[in-house]
Amino acid sequence: MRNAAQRPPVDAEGLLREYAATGNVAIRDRVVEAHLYIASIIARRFSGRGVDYDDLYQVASLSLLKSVERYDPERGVKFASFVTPTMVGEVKNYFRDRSRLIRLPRRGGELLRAIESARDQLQMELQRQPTAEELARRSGASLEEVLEALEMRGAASPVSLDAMPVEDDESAPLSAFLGREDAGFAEFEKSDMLNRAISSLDERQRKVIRMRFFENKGQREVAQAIGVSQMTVSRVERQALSRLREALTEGENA
Amino acid sequence: MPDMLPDGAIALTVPADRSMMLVIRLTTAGVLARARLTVDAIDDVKMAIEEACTLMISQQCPPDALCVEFLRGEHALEIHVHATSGRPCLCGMGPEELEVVRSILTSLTDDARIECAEGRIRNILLTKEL
Repeated sequence: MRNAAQRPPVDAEGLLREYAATGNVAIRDRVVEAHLYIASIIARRFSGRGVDYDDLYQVASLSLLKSVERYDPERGVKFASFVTPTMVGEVKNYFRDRSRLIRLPRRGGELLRAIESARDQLQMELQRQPTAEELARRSGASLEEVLEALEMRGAASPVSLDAMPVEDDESAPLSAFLGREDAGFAEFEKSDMLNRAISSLDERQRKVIRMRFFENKGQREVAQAIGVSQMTVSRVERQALSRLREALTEGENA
Repeated sequence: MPDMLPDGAIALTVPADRSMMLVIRLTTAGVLARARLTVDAIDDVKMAIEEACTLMISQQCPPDALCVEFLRGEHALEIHVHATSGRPCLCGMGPEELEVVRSILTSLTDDARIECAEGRIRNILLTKEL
C-alpha cells in the first residue's frame, strides 16, 4: 500500500455521503484506499528530517482514517482539499512531539527550557501563540538566541537503536555500537586473583598445577617429570586445588 | 503593533545544496520574527520554505543556486523560491503529485503557487498573511 498511486474516485464526496448515511465500512475503505497516495506523497516529502518514511506514512494514513469520520460533505469542501492539511497537521505535530523528547546540551537546553516555559505562560496569558520577540523578552534572551535555540530543538531528532547507520546488508544496527561492561575486565580480574592464589602454593604444588592444568599433562607424566609416585601427584593436586579454591573464595569475598 | 520588518526585498542566494538548509532556515526565522509572526507560524513557514527548496534541489536536473526572496506587502509576506541557474530543471512529478505538494505548502502557509511549465518548476510563491 505504501506507494499506492491511485487516483481518488471521481466522486469521493458522494461516496462519503453514502457512508455517512449507511455506515458501510466497505465504502469508507474505498475512499481511504483511493487517498492513500496523498499519505504516501506527504510521507515522502517530510522524510529525511530524522523520521523514517514508514513512520510518517503511518501517521498520515491514520490521520486519513480519522478525517473520513470527521468530514462533512455538506460543507462543500472537496475531500482531498480537506484531508491534505489535516494529514500535514498530524505529521507536524508528530515532528514537534518528537523534538521535545530530545535532551539538549546544557547551555542550549537551559535556554530552551526557559523558552518553553515562557511559551506556555504567554500562551495562557495572551490566549494565542507568542511571537519570538515576546518569548525573548519573557525569557531574558535576545531574539537571535531564541531563534537559534528553537532551531536547535528542530535540528535534533531521536534515531532508533535499530536504525542501520549505513543501509547495506553488512552493517549492524546502532545498538551494536553501544558501550557495555567489558567482559575482559572481569576476566583480567579473575586471572589476577588466580595468579595471587597460585603464588600462595608451595613450589611442588605450583609445579603440579602448572603441568596438569596449563600444560594438560596426565598425572603419570607429571609424576615421572618430578620424580614422585602418581598417588603423590594426586594428593598434591587435591591439596593445591583445595588451597586455590579457598584463596579464590577469599578474594571474591574481599 | 507594527512589525520590525523594513520595506524592501530581502534576498538570500545560496548554492543549491542541502547543507545550506540551516542557513535558509535561520534567515527565514530572523525575517519572520521581525514580521512578528508567532513561533508556531515561524516553524510552519520554515518547513514550507525548506520543502520548496527541496523541490528545486531534487529536480532531475537540479539548479546551481537557489534564491529565497522575502517581499513585504501591505497585509502579507510573499516568499519567492526560485532557481538562479539558466539550466532547465525537470521536476519529475506529475500534475497530481504537484497538486498535493502545493496543498502541503498551502497548509503550512496561507497560499502557495508552483509555477511549473513543461515539467519544469520555475518559481514557488508562498504567501503568509501578516
